[in-house]
Amino acid sequence: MYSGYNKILRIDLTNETTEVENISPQFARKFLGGNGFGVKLLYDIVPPQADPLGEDNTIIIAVGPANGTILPGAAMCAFITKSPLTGIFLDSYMGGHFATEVKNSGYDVIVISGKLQKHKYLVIENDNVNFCDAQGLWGMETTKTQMKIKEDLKNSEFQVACIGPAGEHLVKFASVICDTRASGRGGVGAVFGSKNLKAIAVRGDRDINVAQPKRVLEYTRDTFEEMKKHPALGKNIPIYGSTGSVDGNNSLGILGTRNWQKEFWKDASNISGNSLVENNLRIGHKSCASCMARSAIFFQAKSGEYKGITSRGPEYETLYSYGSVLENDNPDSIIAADRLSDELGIDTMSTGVVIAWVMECFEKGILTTKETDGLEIIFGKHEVLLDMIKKIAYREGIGDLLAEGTKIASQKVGKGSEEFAIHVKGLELAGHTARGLKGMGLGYAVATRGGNHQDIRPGAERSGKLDRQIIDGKPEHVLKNQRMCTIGDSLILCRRHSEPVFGQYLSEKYVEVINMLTGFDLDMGELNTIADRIYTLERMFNCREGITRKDDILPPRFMKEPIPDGPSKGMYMKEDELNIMLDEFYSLRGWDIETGIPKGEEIKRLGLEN
Amino acid sequence: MKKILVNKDKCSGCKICESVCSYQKLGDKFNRRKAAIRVVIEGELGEKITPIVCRHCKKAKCAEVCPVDAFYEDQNTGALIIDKVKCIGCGLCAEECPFGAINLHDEFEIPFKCDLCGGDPLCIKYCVPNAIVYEEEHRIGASKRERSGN
Repeated sequence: MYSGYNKILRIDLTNETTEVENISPQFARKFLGGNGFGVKLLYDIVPPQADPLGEDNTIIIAVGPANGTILPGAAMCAFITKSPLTGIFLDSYMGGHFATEVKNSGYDVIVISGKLQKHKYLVIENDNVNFCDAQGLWGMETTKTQMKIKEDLKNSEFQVACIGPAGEHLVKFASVICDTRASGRGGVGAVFGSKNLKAIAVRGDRDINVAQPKRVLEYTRDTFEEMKKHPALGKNIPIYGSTGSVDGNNSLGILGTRNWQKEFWKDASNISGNSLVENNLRIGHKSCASCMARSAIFFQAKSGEYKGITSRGPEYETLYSYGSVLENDNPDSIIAADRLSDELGIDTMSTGVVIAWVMECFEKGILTTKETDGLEIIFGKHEVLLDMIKKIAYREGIGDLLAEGTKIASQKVGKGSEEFAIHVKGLELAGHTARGLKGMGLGYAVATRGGNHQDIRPGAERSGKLDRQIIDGKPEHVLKNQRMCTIGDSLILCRRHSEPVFGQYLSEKYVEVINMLTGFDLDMGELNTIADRIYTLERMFNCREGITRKDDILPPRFMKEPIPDGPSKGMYMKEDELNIMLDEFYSLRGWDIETGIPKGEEIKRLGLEN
Repeated sequence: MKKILVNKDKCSGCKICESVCSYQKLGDKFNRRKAAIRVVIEGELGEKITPIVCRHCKKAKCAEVCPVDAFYEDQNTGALIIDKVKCIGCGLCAEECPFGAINLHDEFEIPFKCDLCGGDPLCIKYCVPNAIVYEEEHRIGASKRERSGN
């Protein structure tokens, strides 16, 4: 028995019709759930060269066998589509309680195709799907939108995933927000906007069956005991969330600072988790579904024009993108910017990195106040942050250009600004170094959604378990790390639980958990094959769009400029190092060394011929 | 008597208690909509989190309004229990409970209400932040009286 319903809900927005389709047990075993289901359906449904913001693009919402159970960290929901920011495959995962309601409503996958004629939102409750008028909601921020819809439906049990003004204005990195959680990266929100879809409200009453419920209960209880003793999960994460990484990364000299001109920052401690907590900016915490880590921290700004603004965040990535990468050491402004970004529905990582690019353009005289409506966009100046976020979200003034993302903006402005545009394949980089960790660098270069820190994880190299500056063994490390992420994203588990408990690679623990949920009799060999099938299909989607080896590179800055100072001084990714690693990585993956395209025999081995 | 004591300040809203409760009640599956304990999440950013579970009141409104006298006290645990044979599933008890701690579901004739699992409640074993504990009722409010309780 598979832990799911084996059902796909297909929603055609153009004709406002729905259809329920069964998933065969063979399909479930081949693709597992979440990420796996999503990429297979996207590959089959979206025609090559489709406009990501056109009617042909499709949004796949998928959950996996762990969602809706009590398995630690089983909160994540997959949003999979063709990205308007990168033009390639996109998977973006949201925590909170949305995945549980999707599962409770009786579906493993919701496929949303076509385009609504008018602004509407969807209400999905078990067998019922309604298309509701959203004219009054258009223009509304995300918190108000969620509250209004719950009020209209007279039931607070609904989870509402919605877009804000940024999605409506087709900002290429607009997010989808539910509760205070985001499907943040790559512009799922813009795809919603392009379809005139403001929100999806879901609630369900259906039972969730797993193959061995008693074992799931025992397993969870044992794991909780183990987690309570874990130094991060049991002690630090409930207090600091992910914010501890500011100090951690800076102490290694790998904190993206000043648009990555530097990776060591003397003022980092002003925005570190320690400082936020010591200065009493932390006012509470909560958790996603089935989470014991309680890592969702509420922070409240205490001074200046930001005083009193509360946000569920910032997380580490936002302390990087609105803090260190802008050389902004004002924590209150970061809290306010984090909240504003959630309200407008915009990805904090891409937004921060594109602003950092503008700041460097300013520094170099490539952009001046003439192009920025009089605003002086300079490093360290927190006063411009909120204005810039609004300009981007509403596409006002220079915001219209920046809303296209760092890649397009730098191509349009030119004058050498492409050299310091920090993206891979159009996706702005997360706050983890590509120069100071060789495996991370390779992982960024080959990640299927672009500059992504969720296909490759920094943990093994950052902790010193692997020598961070050698390239030997890194292609294999990246492959194994990607397999873990792919399977985690198919179940769908939060990394915050899976990494400390299961480690960086797939192991018998994953096999045990998947089998107790699904009743499959997988072994490690088959699990690795499933992971490879999913990841190679993502690559095939990208290759169909024209991606080849030439695109598997890092921003020029990381391949030409050594880190100038701090503990990682002198480190960078030499071109021949990346090339040696790519050769080996493609061989391990069964992708052609010359082109980076999956080879026929590998496609056949994985059963992806049709 | 021992009761499930709630410290809402410690609850993080993971809802594992709901799932575990539903497993206990249904036997072999999970369904948070069929649980006797519920976690209500409210507020602009979902910051107001309250676990709701039967308080086994001594002058229980639910028992008072029950038209068929289906409520009785368990001799061993002191829990207020619904007699499944007597109960007619009218829902009056759910309507009267001042806390909303009694839940109805389409598929069931009898409401879902905490029965303390016969004196060994499963939910509290899965609450990592100890927002719900099974303790003597004179400990109610203890965390507010005693600094160490936080």
